[in-house]
Amino acid sequence: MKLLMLVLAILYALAETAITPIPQHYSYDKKLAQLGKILFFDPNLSSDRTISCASCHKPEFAGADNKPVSLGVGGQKGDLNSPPVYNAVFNFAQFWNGRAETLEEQALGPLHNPKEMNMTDTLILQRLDNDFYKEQFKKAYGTNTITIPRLVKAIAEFERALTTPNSKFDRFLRKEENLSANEFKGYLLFKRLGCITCHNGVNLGGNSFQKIGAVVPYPGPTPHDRYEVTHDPKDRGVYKVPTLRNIALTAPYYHDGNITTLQEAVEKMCYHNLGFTLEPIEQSYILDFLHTLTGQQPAILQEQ
Amino acid sequence: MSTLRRNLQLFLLFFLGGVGIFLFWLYESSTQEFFKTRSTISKEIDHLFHKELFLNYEVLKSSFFLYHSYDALTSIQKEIETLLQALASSKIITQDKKTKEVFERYNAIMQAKLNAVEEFKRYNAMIKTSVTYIITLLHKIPQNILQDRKKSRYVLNLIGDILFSKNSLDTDFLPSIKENIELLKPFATKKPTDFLSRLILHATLFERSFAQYKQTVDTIMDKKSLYTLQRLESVLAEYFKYHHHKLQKLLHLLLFFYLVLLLMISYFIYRLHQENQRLEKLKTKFRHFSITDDLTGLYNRRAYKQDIRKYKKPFFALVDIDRFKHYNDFYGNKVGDHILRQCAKLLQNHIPKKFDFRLYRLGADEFGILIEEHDHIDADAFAKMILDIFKRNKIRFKNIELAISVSIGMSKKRPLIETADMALRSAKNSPYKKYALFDPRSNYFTKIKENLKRSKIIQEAIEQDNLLPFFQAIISNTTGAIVKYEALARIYVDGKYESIYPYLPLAKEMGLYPQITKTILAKSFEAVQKVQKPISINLAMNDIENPEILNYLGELLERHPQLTSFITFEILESETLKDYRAVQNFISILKAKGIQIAIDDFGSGYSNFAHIFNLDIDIIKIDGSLIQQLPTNPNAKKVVQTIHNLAKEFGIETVAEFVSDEKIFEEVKKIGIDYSQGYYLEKPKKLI
Repeated sequence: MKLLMLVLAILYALAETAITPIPQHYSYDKKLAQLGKILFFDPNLSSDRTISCASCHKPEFAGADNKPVSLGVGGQKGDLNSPPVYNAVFNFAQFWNGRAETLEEQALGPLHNPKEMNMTDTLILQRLDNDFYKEQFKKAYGTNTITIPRLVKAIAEFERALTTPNSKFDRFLRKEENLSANEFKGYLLFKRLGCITCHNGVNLGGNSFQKIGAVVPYPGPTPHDRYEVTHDPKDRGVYKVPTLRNIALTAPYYHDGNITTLQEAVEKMCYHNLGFTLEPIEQSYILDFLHTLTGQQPAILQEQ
Repeated sequence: MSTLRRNLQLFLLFFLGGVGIFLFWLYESSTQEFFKTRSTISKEIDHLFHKELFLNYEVLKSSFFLYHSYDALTSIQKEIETLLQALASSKIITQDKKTKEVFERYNAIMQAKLNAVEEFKRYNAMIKTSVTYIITLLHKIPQNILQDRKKSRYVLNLIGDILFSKNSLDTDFLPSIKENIELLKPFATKKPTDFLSRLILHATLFERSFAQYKQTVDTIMDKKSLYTLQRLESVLAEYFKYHHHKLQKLLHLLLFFYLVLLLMISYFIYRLHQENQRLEKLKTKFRHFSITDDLTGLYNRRAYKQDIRKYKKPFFALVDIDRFKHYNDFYGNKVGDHILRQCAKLLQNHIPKKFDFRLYRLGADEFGILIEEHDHIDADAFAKMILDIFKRNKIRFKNIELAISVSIGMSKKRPLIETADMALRSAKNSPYKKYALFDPRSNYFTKIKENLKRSKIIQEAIEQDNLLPFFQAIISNTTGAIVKYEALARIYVDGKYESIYPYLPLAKEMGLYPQITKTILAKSFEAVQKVQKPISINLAMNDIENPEILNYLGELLERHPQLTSFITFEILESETLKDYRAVQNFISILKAKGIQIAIDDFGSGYSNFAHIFNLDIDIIKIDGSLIQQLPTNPNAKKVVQTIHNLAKEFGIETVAEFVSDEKIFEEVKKIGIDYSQGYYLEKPKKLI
């Protein structure tokens, strides 16, 4: 038993940091991002002029919203919980099932989705055909010709700017600040209990597809899962592992938005994907740790 | 070489040049493309090789460590995918069948591998979650189990086997794991916090998924992909070798082509050179023709004009064949040409070589000799030498000896031809001289100047009405009374009146003569009207033949019919009467109007007595040159006497002109001439 403990200790020590801080300065094209910002907040990009990108990806909810599923044009309900746009740039794929490789690809999805913004390319160009946007495009691209690829590129560039660096945990990783005892205990538990096997990397997630309910099956439906993309039966109920960055701000949780609190999310995740129930004290440590993942609001949002 | 053929050749050259440029371009772009493609594809394959090794490394790392970030793995996955896409779209792989086949095999393996990586992530998460959890669970191992030897052995065996399996990636221990799970199961309770049930749950999860986990790792680690990549590399190497060979062939073709082209161009240049030489010769020939006289082979006037500019101190002699026209007319052109050729030959062969001379044929029968006068040339000696040549060498034509002589005009003063021509004319006009040198001091140029000045004076005199008749009294030799006046035209020049006589030849040339005649006629009539005295007016033969003047005269006579009895017309006899009938007619018309007719300058050399006396004239004015000789020349006296006697026979009165002194006047009276006029008696003056 002693030997076993030693072997395990060595293994722990060898493990390099599985989580990396968000870069403090992530470069992006400022001119394009400024245009993207305007577009991102413009409800004219939805058919009934009620919904903008920001309607479902709100700054106050770290680029997500507070509804189980987001509302599109005409108050239509979507099928999935809105994923946070903050730090989306660090995800290896976009959408819950990862069907978009890039931010640019992703941006067109909601625009064209009849349940979301319900637009056609023609209608988009018609809406933007005015002096204001011509001037904005001129500033960004040097030409006032508006095209869909240019629009999408600008939005994606804005999203690249939506990073939340300098969370307490990142500062801890950079050895600039210490975690509190409880937070640190939570971090260790996060590792010991195996949360980290899926929630790793810069985004604590967003770099693999995993099955919800890997140990104990998840009771709810799993619409638009990975299977939709690969048609591999093994991919049923499989989603992109969501990021835990700013997780305290992005309630409700899970793909269906049925989990309203973070505490519940942790409890259910432990049960379904790790096959055990946390003790209350362990749960509180983990919650303390998760709260250290809240970063700064993106700088671009402060700018005028 | 015909133009068509030359054009064809040129076209061929241009065409071949175009082909050459095209071939070069083809080679250049092919080579560039070849090396670019080769380097790109090599780089891509190299990258793939390394990325795959890195992927394997990341997978192993991820499986080895209990937890590890998937970020690196994810980015390598993406990089590999991008590289595969780039390769798939590369030209060689899409075009070359063999390469395509190998690549497709490789791509399939790699796609399977990438899928396996995704699967790995999932199994890895499960395996590691369970292992991690089991290790963490050890913290919570209950006392009762530690104290129970059997249970503790089962637990340790189970955990040991799990760790052994995971760290050795060996499925051989799975039966042992399963056995231990089964052995532990009876001791587990249903409580979720129960140690054993939790251990059994995760051990079971591990036992169930480990085989698949191992399989995915094996799939990823499989070296088949790397071997296939190596195969792809060797297939590409073959492909490149083949294409390199092709490029070399193209290069050889290109070089050969350029060689051919070079030879062709050399050939054309050679041909062009030949052509140029031919043209140069032709040009010289043409030049020669253009400056040579056909007949004699001497230089022509054009050559002279070109040459003369080069001379600094020219001596020029114009040799003219005397009476050449006569020979031409008399013996025909053939002989004329013969003479010209012979003359040319004589001059060419006999002028001493010490004169650096050039010979020209300048006109029909005129030869020019141009010499640069380095040393003084004695013109007289030179001319004599030329004359001597013609004297010593007789020109014959079919045994007929032609007595050819020449006249020579020489000049050292530009314009040479003109001045030499003047000298030549002066020589020809003289019965003694055969040659002359133009004298720059002669009045040639002043004459020209004078002519210009006089032309201007005449022009102005007419324009400004500076012409008028003066009148000279004609006196009766018996009574001494003035019986008549002769109108003499005067021109007003520089504040005084001059005789118009020196101006008349110019006026004739300028076509102003009729105008002058008309003015004098009008003013004479005016004078007659005013003074109501008889007046004699001069008319030249030209005037009588000129309809303009006749009309004008007719008008004057019609306007002043009362004056006709006062008028006498003196017809100048110094010219031959050309149209005798017209003159006769004219005279009879005037006579009918009561006008008297006189013949002027009678006896001056032209007089045709028969004609004169047949005309119905009233007066004869005996020529002044005869009258002036009366005191000195007995012959003149006889001639005058005869004229006078003859006139008396025909009932014609006589007038003596130029009576300039008493002696002449006495002689005139002695002969019995009716009237006299002259400076001795009265000078011409204005009447009005």
